[in-house]
Amino acid sequence: MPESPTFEHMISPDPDAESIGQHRFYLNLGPQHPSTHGVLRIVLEMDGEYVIDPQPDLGFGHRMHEKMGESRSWTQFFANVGRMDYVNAIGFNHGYAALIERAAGIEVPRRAEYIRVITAELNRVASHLLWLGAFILDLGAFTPILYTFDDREDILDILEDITGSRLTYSYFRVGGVMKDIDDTFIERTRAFIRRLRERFSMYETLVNGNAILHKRMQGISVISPEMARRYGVTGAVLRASGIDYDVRKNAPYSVYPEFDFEVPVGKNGDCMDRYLVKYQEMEQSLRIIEQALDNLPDGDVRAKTKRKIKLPAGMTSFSVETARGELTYLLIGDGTDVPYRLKIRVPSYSNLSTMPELCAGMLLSDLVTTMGSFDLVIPEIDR
Amino acid sequence: MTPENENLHQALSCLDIDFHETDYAAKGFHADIQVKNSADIREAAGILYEQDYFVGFVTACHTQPATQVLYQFARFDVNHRIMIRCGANENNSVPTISDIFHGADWHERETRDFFGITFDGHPNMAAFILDESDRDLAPLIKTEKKLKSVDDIFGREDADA
Repeated sequence: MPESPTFEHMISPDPDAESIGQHRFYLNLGPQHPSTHGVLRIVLEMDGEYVIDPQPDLGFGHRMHEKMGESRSWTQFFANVGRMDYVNAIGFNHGYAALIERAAGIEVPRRAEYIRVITAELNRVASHLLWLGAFILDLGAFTPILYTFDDREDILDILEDITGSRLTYSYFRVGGVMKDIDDTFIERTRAFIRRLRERFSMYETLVNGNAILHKRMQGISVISPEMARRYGVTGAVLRASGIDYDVRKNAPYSVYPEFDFEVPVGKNGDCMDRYLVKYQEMEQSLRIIEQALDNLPDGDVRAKTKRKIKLPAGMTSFSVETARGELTYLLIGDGTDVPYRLKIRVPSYSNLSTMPELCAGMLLSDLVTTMGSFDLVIPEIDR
Repeated sequence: MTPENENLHQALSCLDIDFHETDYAAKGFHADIQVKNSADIREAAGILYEQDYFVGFVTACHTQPATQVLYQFARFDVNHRIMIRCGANENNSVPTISDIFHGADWHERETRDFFGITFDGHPNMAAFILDESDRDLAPLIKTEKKLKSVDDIFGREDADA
């Protein structure tokens, strides 16, 4: 039998070895690579199979939304917000509508607030389901994404009925929502909650307990609480590090304080905890939706507002918890109906900025796991 | 003043600042702090780091006479969010805080792309979101017709000067 080749040089970068540096090369991951989930390029300085210095290169999907925000009135800009994080468009709708309401001092009817929470949480579950399938696909398991897409399809159908879109929703309006929900919506949402809870037990048996999955995720790319704070990491990535920070609880908005739900928190800050935190968040979202449907108040779904609202001079900020973390809009008005400046702080931008420190020295395959655990949506980062 | 604002005001009192408590329900942040001398921004960031803040974002707003660099900080443990504002100096630059809050690194590069402001001491000011060929584009710089003064935009009703 021929002697089998050895790959020792590829798997053990001994810092004292004379061979160090002999296997250095640059590798372009993306912008057209399936594991980046969009047009993200990462320039990797490699030594064998180890990543020495990963440097993300952004902007392939950049559309300058912030400039568009300054050149049209705040109502005209509404169509833009759902096109940043297209997987959680309603989260972006929520932040923007609430921002304008805060700046202009508009009260939202309670029924509208409840509908906002229901649709925002449905959209969060849809986003998490997409992530769940895609993340496991990144790790090499093909089947789960077929199941999660099937579940997510249900949510898209439900939301399509009332919003008119399946992905880039512009359902919220300043002062409420576009259209009231009906009995069919409520029935189908309740049926979906029952269905997803049944599926959870299957996911838990088939996926969460899988030994290979654990080996791929445990101890990989650990973010300490201190590091999370230095980078401004938010969302499930932060909560996996043991910090109990969720904008819905810590800086409550809308009617979230009226619902009983928990914020899942990890302790190790590795990919495994990020996975578990995000996975558990789906059940919490279902709990919120259930309570909101049970206590849905009657009344209008949209406050009467002036056609042209002038925004006061000065800064107004609004933060919401999207599926990926804290989204903050900062509006700087000048007394007209067009913002003087509109800053959009997106969660994945800060989360991904940890990569050069976090992923230096790890195996290339672990870098792919890390990116998957961050649940990146590139058009959100690029804006 | 809220206890958090009082603590922070106390901690920052060594710097030349203008500290204003704001109504959170109306503005979305608890304090609006103007750092008068851009050289102090590093010291302010160091104090905020010690006080358990995280950096939300760094951005800017083009006004006359100087472009205003804006920082948002918040805390994980309590609901406390602040805005810090500081005018760029005569070289259109401010010191970097990216070595204190590493998360500011990318935000400062983005601000360089959009406004042409440089961050002194930043290790890498190469084009980031925009292409290298658009390095001097500074798309968020206002035309002369649209440019407003810093007092028109950030002036407060209760400002004394």
